Amino acid sequence: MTDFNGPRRRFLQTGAAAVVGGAALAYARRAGAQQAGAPDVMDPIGASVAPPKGSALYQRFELELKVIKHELVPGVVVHMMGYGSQVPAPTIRVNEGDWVWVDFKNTNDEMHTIHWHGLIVPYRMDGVPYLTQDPVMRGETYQYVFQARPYGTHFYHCHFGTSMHMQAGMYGAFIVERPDDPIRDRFPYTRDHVLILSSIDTVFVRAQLNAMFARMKQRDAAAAGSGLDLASQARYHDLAALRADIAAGNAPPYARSRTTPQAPQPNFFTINGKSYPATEPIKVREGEWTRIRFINAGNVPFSMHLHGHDFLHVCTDGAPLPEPVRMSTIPVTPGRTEDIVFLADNPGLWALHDHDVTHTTNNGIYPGGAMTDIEYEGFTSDYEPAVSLDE
Amino acid sequence: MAGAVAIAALLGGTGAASAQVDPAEPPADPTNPDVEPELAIGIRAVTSVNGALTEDGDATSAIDFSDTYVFLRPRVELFPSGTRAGALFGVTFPDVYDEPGTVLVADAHAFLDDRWGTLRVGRGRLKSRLIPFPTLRDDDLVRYTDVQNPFSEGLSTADLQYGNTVDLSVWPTPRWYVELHAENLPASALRPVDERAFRINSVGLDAGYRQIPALAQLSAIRQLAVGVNAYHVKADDQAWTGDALAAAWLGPLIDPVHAIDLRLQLGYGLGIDGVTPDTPEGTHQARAVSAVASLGYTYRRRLLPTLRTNVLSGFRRYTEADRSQWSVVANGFYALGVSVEVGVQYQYQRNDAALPDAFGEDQEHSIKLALIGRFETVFGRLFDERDSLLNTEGGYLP
Repeated sequence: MTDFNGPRRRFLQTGAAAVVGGAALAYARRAGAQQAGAPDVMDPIGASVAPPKGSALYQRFELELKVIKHELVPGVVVHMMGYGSQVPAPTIRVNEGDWVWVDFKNTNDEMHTIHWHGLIVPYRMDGVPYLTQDPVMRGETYQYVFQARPYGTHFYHCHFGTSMHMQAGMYGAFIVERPDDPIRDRFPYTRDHVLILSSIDTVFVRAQLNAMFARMKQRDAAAAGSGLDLASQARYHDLAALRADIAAGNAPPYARSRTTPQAPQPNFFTINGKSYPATEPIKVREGEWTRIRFINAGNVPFSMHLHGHDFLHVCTDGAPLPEPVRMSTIPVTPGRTEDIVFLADNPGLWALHDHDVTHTTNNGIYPGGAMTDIEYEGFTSDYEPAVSLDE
Repeated sequence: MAGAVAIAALLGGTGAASAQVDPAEPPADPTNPDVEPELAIGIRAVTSVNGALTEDGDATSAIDFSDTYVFLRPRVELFPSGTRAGALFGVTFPDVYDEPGTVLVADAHAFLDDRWGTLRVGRGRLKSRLIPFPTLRDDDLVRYTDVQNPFSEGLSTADLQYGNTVDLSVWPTPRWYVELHAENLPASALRPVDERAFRINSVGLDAGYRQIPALAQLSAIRQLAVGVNAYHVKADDQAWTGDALAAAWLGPLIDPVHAIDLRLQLGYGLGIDGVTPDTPEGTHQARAVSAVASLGYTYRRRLLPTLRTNVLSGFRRYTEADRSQWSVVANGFYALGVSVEVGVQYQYQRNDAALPDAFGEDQEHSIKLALIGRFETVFGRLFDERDSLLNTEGGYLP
């Protein structure tokens, strides 16, 4: 059986765009073509600063992408795509200034990249297909090498077919720490939680995954057969080439003759890939500070509300605010990261949820979605909580 | 009447109560939330301008919309999950020469479907062929592509294609299948009512390999199948007869831009002893061998539907009577859009002079200029298909 994790077949060897193959080797070859003697590793600061290849000074990570079956909530299992075979992808924590080396291996038919959202990386490491790199094909391993900066809460995600691939699970947290963490200095938190918010239209993702994989298999076979031109992939050298192609009577893939509108309508809303009641509760200890890093890796805005406490908004997009802002509900819009801290001074069980309550549903049934709770360790309630699924 | 009462009981009431449903009456269990079914609707419009010329020089022409098909298919998921239930209702317009308003109910069946198989009960397409052939209309070569229904008067091709059936398809793997089916094969409406076969009079077994739809164009082997059928004909000296089929659908050139496909089906019908093909009915009951083959080329510019062309030939020989008939078809279709084509089909039909007139003239040339559209949409989409790429290669999910 051929499957998503089977041997690769190359295509796209056409026109101006050559696929990255053998990752660093091809990457170096391309760099070398532009600048004789260029180092294998692009370096934002200077080649003399980057550790040599293979050096133990790199923080190295391997991310292999696979199609997985993922349980959003008991009774709802969907196909998703997971870096590291999980949703969300593994959290990467490094110190500011660390050199990071990520081997990204694509084992499915679709094309992918990794974009390091919020990180200042060399432009050729930014993971935007056809702008900074060719997408990573099936069976290929691409090496992303950069220095971790700036400090703060960031994330990474696929930048190919972004609206679908991110819904399908291709996102993970990237935390850049600093020994002299300004937030911990002021609010000595003992717990640090990452909450990645997202949403998924399970029907849209399923249909799109099927269509994308089918399309890629067609292209793959065409490349191995009579050949595959750029136009068959809807790729053009520039906007003028696109206009010329349309003028010649060819319809682009977004034309009415070739597609109908397919805007996703999310039916599940997740925290760290799970919907309530499958979301993990957040454990706190009375009298201690807790930091929560919200990352919106989805395509709808969230409005996260904490019961029983006020919290302090301390960072946006990783950057510390000039002064913390006291609030009980914080908007987290798509692509943003927002960090809060709070003092656990009100023992009990407290809801933490999106206050756009349409997002606290599972397939339209309340309660569900982007909701979890704060649980004080050692707290004994005089009320026995239960899980309700249909209020 | 007893049958009507039984059906009403299945629906949850007596016949009398079901006949008097008050649309204003609330549902029996108002606390249950509504579960809206996924609903697929579609039309396959096949229209053409036909011209024919016989060996006697007689020319005919017609404007034809036969084989146009309209369908409706709701599906829901059952408790707890993983099994689907649905129904398919489809009508087609049988023949250009039928009276205006004549509509054939092609599909009216309910089904249960899960990872391992499908159970279908009701009226639907018979398992009378193993693979489809690319003619303009699905009955252009029906006497070669479909096994003969020994209960038919031999005057309606629909007798070969549609009937009341119960069939169970089992899929041990996504590509290998076994189908067990039983039919209440229709007799022509021309027969007196008391002579029609209102009984389960046919059973059959098919088995084979079929590539999943998303990969069919990319595979050297698209389908391999064998099948046998047995018919309880209750003839004077013979209670049963039967037939056997074998088919292959291959892709010798699997380039998705320039694709070649090759299809072949062979059939052998035991027939009823002593019956000769002197009458239309006899052509369905006489011993015969048949073969049909097609060679097709498809061009998909920019991987979009562009041009497809086919050459087909069918042959049937009545072995005991030493008579035969054959036909050659050539067609070509050009895509005006993703689901709309214009096309032309030429057909030459040659019948042994001793065969009955029901087959038409001994020789006939026909040509059809066609406009074809396939329009389908799904509302409230709920399900993936058993043989989707994700379910086949990423692990099955209901």
